[in-house]
Amino acid sequence: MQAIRLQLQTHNCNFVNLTSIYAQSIRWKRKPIWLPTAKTKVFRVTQRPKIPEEEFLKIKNLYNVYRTSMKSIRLLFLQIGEASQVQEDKGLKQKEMEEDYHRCFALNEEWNKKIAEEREVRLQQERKQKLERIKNTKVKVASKLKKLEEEADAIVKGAKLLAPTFITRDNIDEAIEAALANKVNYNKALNPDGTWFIEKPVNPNPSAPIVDASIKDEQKKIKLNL
Amino acid sequence: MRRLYLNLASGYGSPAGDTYPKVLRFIRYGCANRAFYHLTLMNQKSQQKVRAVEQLGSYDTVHNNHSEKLVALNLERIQYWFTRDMKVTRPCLEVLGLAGFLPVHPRTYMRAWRQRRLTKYME
Repeated sequence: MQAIRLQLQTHNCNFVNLTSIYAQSIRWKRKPIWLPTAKTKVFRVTQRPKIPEEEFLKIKNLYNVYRTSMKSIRLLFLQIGEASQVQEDKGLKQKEMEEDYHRCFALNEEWNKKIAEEREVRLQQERKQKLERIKNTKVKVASKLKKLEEEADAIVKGAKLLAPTFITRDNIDEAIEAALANKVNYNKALNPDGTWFIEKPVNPNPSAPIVDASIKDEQKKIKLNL
Repeated sequence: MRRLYLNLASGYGSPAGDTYPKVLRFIRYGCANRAFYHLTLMNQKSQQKVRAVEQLGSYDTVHNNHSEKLVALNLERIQYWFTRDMKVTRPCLEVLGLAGFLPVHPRTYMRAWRQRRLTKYME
């Protein structure tokens, strides 16, 4: 692939379609590392640097000294590292933890006592308030019940007053006769001046009983009071 | 396209119980024709410009107005990592030798006398 691309650069390949969108000429800065050594350079051997004997011995000596000193320095650093590692005493730590626990426990007890006193005062006050509230409620409820009773009494009174007008098995025939006798006409008319024209009742049978008006009035009054 | 390095240069530290071998090496930052090196502690097998364990110094190769090449070293941390048995690359050993932290590296001497010989030859 790369070789093809390199050839493309020189524009001397006829087998690659240059009009294709995949073909592009690339200018390489250097040969990619995965390409093999050029044919012309395969048998080239680089010459070893020529170091004089004297200098070589000097360098060797220097390196020997350097390696030795570096080894000792490294060992020193490792020793320092080992020494600086703090060993944890488990027993001591346990003891410290226990002491800390006891101290915290005592402090907590103290706080609990203090809070308990405060709570006692508060609860007493709350109890007092509650009792007062209950007392007030009782009074209110009693008054409300009394009112309800009065209202019920009034209803009963009204009913008792109305009792004679009730239609029972005994007077049902009379009531039917009275109803037939007193025909009520609800036809009414109103003219533009605001006067009502009410048809006069016709009583074909004047001897029929008529409901007492005073009882009706009493009933109305009771209803209004309610 | 060149891969961007988006990791913190100052490093991410080593997790607890990390026993992977570490190495102190220079990492080339800066740009073309303007090298700037970070003295970085990394996992030995990791490449350049990946997550570093710790940055322990820097080295500016371009000399400043006073003809100085500036090197910064966090000697405390370097000492600490020496106690953890780290490996150190040769350029770092040279710089540390010149800084007086370690013995001077033989290569420093070699370069010096060869440079001296060259200047003498040029004259």
